Amino acid sequence: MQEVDDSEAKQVYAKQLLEACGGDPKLALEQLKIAAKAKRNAAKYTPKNSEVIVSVDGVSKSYKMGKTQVGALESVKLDIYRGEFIAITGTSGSGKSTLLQLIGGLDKPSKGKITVGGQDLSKLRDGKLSRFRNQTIGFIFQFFYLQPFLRLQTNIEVPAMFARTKRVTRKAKSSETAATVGLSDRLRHYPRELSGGQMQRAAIARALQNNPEILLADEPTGNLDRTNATAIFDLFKKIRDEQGTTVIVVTHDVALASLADRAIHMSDGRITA
Amino acid sequence: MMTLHDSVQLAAAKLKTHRVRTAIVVIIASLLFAGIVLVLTMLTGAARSAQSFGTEGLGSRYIVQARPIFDQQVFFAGTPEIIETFKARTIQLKADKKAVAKKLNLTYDATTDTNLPLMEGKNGSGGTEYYLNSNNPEVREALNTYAQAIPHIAFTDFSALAHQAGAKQFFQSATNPMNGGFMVGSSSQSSSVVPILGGKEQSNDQNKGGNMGEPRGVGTITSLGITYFDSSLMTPFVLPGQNLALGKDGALPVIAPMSVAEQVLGLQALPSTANAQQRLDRLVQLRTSIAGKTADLCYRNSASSDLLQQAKQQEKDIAANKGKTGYTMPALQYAAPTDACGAVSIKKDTRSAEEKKQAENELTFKKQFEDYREPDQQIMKIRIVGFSQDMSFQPGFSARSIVESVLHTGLGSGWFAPAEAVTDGSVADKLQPMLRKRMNTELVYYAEFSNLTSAKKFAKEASCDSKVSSNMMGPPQVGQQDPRVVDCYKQGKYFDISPFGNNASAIEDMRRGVWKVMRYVAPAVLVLASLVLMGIVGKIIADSRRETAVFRALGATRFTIAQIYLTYSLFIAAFVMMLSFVIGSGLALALSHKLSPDASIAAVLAYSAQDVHKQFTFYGVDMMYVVVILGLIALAALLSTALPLLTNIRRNPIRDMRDEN
Repeated sequence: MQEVDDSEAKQVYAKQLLEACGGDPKLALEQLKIAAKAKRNAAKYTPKNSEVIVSVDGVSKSYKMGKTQVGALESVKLDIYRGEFIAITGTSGSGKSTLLQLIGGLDKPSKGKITVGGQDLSKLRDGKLSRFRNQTIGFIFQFFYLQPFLRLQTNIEVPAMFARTKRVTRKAKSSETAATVGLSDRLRHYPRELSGGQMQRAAIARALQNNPEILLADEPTGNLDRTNATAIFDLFKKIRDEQGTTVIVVTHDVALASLADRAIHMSDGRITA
Repeated sequence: MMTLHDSVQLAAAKLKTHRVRTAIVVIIASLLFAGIVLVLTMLTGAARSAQSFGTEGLGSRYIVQARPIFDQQVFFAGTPEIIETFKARTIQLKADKKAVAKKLNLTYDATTDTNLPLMEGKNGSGGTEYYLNSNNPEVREALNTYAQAIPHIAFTDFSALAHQAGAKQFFQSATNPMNGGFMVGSSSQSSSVVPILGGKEQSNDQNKGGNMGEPRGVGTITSLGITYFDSSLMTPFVLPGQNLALGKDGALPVIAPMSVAEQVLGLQALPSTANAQQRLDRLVQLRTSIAGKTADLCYRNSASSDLLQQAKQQEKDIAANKGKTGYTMPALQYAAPTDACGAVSIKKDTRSAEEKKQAENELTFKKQFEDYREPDQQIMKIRIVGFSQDMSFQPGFSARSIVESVLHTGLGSGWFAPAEAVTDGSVADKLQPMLRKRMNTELVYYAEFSNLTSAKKFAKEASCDSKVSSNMMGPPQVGQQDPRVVDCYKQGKYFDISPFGNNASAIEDMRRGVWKVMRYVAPAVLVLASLVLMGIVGKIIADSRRETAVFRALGATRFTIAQIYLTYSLFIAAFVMMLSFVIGSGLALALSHKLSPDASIAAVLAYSAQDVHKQFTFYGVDMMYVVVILGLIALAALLSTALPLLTNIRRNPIRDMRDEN
């Protein structure tokens, strides 16, 4: 587990926290208290009592932008444990989303190795990688990305369609996941008839459709107000608690991150806290 | 790969995006294919109708018709040998005419003589050019002799050729356009034939009921001429209850244009605006009324015609100047006949002995040097035993022109009489061209085969298939040869041969022609439609990059993504298919509805169909072309999807998600 253990890093963290709280020291202090609580919660998920489900080993990622090579990640090393609810924070461009996408098998690292559930992702070809994403990972996005012309239930069932799950089975499952996220009464509705919070919950239900081992959420609350954002995080915890699903959330909201078991902070492509 | 049901569900959702644009693109693509559907539906209908009418007339016989190929230029310009011969003869004639004229006390001016064999003129470079004068009997005789000497094109040559190919019967027909076109050997220039109704000769109003100078009525016998056929070729076109035997009263059985029947029955011609129903009613009325009826026509040769005109004009002038001082009555007054088709008589002759002598000398001179004929008039009794079509000059897209181009059969326009029914000395005999001798006549040979294959094979192998055009610049020149004729003769081909009476071959050729054209049209439409469809499919795929990225994140393989878009493009194809067939078939149905009545009458006439209510439609569906068009549309849709899809599924989903954000 990474810790903020040097004074320089502490100073950087405090500065970023203050910025995130709009320069309000009281709020920043409150956030720090929440973060400390999260740190205490995370104590139960130490390497001693849990299996590593995601292993990021010296991963670097760079993109070519024009003629220059831009580094997005730099020698990142991270272990995530089964059933852990982890938040990755950092400013825009810090590499947190890139890390999430690499873990989800949407892209391949330029250097290093990512192992998920014991599988080295770099060795999987497109077909198997797609199957991995379909069966092992559940993706949640900031902008929900629900199909506007499909009813909610069909939207939730999309990953099951890709898995060729029988219609009866997937209907039952989509009803169940809708119940989990509190949208049982909205299954016949179209996305445009839902609020932002409901749409994100629908997206979570969709992510849960194939019983994934890991939920990857990229700024899931970026488009929501505080109340809804907190509700979404509570939902993640509930899912983790009830289903044992590993939840990895990327957020720039330090306060929300403190609700996770563990929060890691990224800056300039590195894990700094 | 996902199930078909699921890919349909996801693809159907895409149809709900860009609805207006999708509709426009689908309509444009549908219109392109609707054009093909329209053409093929109409052609199939026409071919089927032609096939159904093909059982009428000569439909069960396999006959080819052959037109001898010879250089028509010669009849205008002559050959160098003929010109040389007549140069000397012209000089001789001038001298003889001058001498005889002097002897008969007549004045003769060679420069104004229009009866000499050669006429002189100046060419562009100021040199003297000679022209053959076809009015001169010696020239006509020389050309006839020349025509008879052309090798390989006689009826016997054709018969021998066809016999080798398995033909069992041979016929020939000749049409003599009495007053029209270039005449060689005609004995009937400016002759006239008019109907006699109520004991009176009627005038010919040839344009009544026709468009743009289309000849109508009895007068058409002089402009279109009579085609003399072997009766076995005419029999199928004879109306029920009629026959081709010469009547006891001497009535010549003829198949004549409908307008002739109208005239001899005293019916008012239908206006050119008459609709199909009115025309059909008229046809039924004519068929019923004409049965067993004979009609008298008055034939006058050119001398008789001219004399009658002169008599009538004199009577008119005398009546107009009656009582006027200073008006001198003609010394020789003619009287128009009181009997129908009677001879013109002399009413009063107050000429002096000297004037009479002068006239006598002029007549002697004419008889010696010109093609002089005594006035001749005779009643010609006809019995209309069938109808041909009136000549139509209607250009372009008319039901009749389509039917005629499809049918390729029937007797065509004009008068037709059995050659066997012509008796010596009859008017018909006078009008009958001497077969083979008269090269200006429409001389056609026929050969009958026992099956379609042999007939087609013969037509293909023996007919001249020259790519060289007959067109030559400027007026005919002496010694100039028709390049097409030269090319055909070089190939050893002396006839233009085509099917006659049976349209099976024509229909097959038409179908083959359509498929040939489709080989070029279909790919063009395919490419065009693909580009048009790419307008919407490409847009949908491009706009769905983020969605594709999300689907990839949710576990869709590239193949699954392709499956969704291909299903979508097939949806578009299905709309295009439905719309193209609805538009194409609808238009074909509407056009068929509009053209069918006229076409049916044209076909009934062309085949002399027993059932006048038989329909010629332009609507027919052939599963083969339906399948081909459906395939083309599906292919166009898939082609339009291929390029954007390949680009799309190769993209990095992360980049697309980031870009869209």
